[in-house]
Amino acid sequence: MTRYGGYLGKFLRVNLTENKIVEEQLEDKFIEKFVGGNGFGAAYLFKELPGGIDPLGPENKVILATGPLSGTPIISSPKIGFFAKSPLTGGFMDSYSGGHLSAELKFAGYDGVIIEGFSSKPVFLDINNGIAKIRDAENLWGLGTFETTRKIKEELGDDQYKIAVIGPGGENLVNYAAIIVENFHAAGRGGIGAVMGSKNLKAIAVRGTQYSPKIYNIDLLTGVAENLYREVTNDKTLMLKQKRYGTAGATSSNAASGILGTKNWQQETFDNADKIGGDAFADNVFDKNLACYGCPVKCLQKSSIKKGKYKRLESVGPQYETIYSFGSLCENDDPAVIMAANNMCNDLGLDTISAGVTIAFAMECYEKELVPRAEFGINAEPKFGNKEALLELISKIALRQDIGELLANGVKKAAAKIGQGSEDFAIHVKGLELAGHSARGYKGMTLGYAVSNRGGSHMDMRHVEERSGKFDRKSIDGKPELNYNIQSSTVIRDTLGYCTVIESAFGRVGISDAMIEVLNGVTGINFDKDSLQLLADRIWNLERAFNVREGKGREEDTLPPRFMNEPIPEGPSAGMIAKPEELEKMLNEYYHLRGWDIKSGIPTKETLERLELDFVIDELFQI
Amino acid sequence: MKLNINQDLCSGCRLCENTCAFYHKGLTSPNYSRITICHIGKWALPNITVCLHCKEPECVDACPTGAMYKDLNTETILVKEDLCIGCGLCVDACKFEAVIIHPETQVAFKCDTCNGNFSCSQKCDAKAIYLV
Repeated sequence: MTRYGGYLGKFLRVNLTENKIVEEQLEDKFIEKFVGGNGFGAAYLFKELPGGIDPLGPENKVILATGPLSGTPIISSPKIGFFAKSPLTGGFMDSYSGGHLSAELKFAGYDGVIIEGFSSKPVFLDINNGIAKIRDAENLWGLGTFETTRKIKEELGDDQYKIAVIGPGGENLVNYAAIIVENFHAAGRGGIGAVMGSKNLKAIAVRGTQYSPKIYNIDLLTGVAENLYREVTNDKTLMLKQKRYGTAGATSSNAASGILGTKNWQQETFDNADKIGGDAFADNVFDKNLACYGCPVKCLQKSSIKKGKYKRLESVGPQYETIYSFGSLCENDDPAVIMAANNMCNDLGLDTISAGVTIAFAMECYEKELVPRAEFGINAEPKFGNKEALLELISKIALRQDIGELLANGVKKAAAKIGQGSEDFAIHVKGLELAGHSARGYKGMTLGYAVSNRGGSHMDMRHVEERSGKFDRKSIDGKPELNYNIQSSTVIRDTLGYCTVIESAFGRVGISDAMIEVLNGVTGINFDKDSLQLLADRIWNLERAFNVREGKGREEDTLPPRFMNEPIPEGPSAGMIAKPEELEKMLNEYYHLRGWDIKSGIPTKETLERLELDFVIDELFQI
Repeated sequence: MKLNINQDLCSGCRLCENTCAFYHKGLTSPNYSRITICHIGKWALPNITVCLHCKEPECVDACPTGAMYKDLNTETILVKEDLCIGCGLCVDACKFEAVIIHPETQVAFKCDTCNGNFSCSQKCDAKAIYLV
């Protein structure tokens, strides 16, 4: 039993091969060193996976980890991390879902779950108030996530279960298959849904009402929680913006700056951006705010289409990234089609970012006559702006039919197969398709995408400080240091479990007093600025070391050739480009700050020693 | 002050549950909360269950021991736990399902107003739970 607050002190270890479940205690030393979420996931993955394994083989593991804040009185901390070696990138992957699953898992008695091995037949995991069982899922295999979620609740006789599910995408090992949580949240990125599919694991159902995370000091925590609640809810700009738009407001602001990924990033302005802008959704589509566990910001939108072909189509969202990937990137200006695509991806279990980027890539391949129409196997012509083609392609991908067989592996592998220069416009980093924040239009993101341990993720380096004008988005000056500081804060965010939506309260650049106050208030671990920085460094380096062990170094810290060879052709940001020499310069400076070897991009022995990562040294420097 | 709810405004965040349990017990698990948010159907539309302290409380009428009573000063419905025999007649009588027999204590368990503070309402930014 741990003495620290915020934890249940227990992980479940589920071995699907042996059909065996055991409880494991969290040691205080392990908690002090890795703290939660991101830290736990990185530590378990590095320690327990041998290098070079097949991401879709039985040796890979799926790890679920909560942070110490979730389920406590600290608001807006609903995130649960999913961790595995990614089938999309072959590297470290972490993907975080909102919703109620994280708190529910704690109320069921556990801080996390380690799933290993392979089941010979479809199963799902049932965790209910301290009791975990592996249950038969033969009747659920092949079903969409909505139907699966409904049927599991029915079978277990409790409709308040919180359930993480894969759809046909995960079953068919689509390399960017998502895990869909409670029908409309997702651990979307990097194909961890396919890892579940490879294990014949259809779902993880959790019901918790009886257990509480340990409270270290009730009086102290009451004050800390109250202050944070007041600070966030008194931030009227944040509250009103999130209430009206959620993240959907970003479309309009990116369009205004000329950095809205359009037509597979051939452009960064979209003529019809207004039609899919924040106000278009807020005025015509969004009906009611919903929220994740313990979050007063309520950025989710229950939505519906009121007229036309898609009348009565219901959904939650879409959020900005989906509006980008299925909207401007495919030159689709119809909110209803974006919603339909979003729902299809949620039901089939696909990451909306990777799916949209992959479809945009396929459309460009078609228009450039690199892939003939017959190979697509769809009725509609797969050209930009063709809405029917967009929707048809989503199904093809999830079912791996016709062109879907190729596209299901992501743009990196698809381009390698298609060749003919298609690699130049395959928009990925390390195999992960890029999110909707311009790598050309934000110099910080130029470096940020290149060095993200996940690949093309917007959740490590954040664009927000450059968007607000606090840092000049057109200059590379100081951007290596900014990357280092922002990554430190996002690592702490993902380790503690709070959501990006309240990043403003915790601070976005570097380690803040607020992070220390909340973490210490909840756990009773005595962190200060130096030791929390050390924690952030340790976790980031551990992820990096995982990738190094897989043979990834400096050569993969790069961007799609399009961004380095083609300037933004039009609009307010015309001419901006991620020049290779600028990227190289930033990489040198960044590696230096990180304590990595400049030439290889590998953390030095001294750096790993400073971070007390002896077990990493043993593996990376074994002779 | 009287507790009121507006189901349409609830976002389902369950901060009220968390606050209620923490206020009373210093813990946060839902079984210590006297207010319950359920998520209904495919889109998890929220539903609030909490005692609204009826003017003519049927739970009080049903109670055979006087454990469930109306405090005339505050016009709220409270439980004298030492008088409660856990018979569950109040549970049957309440059409709002706002009373349960708690599995740990085996006595009636419902909103006790937090000494008139109604702590749930203080953390409901959506104003779905509010005082009038």
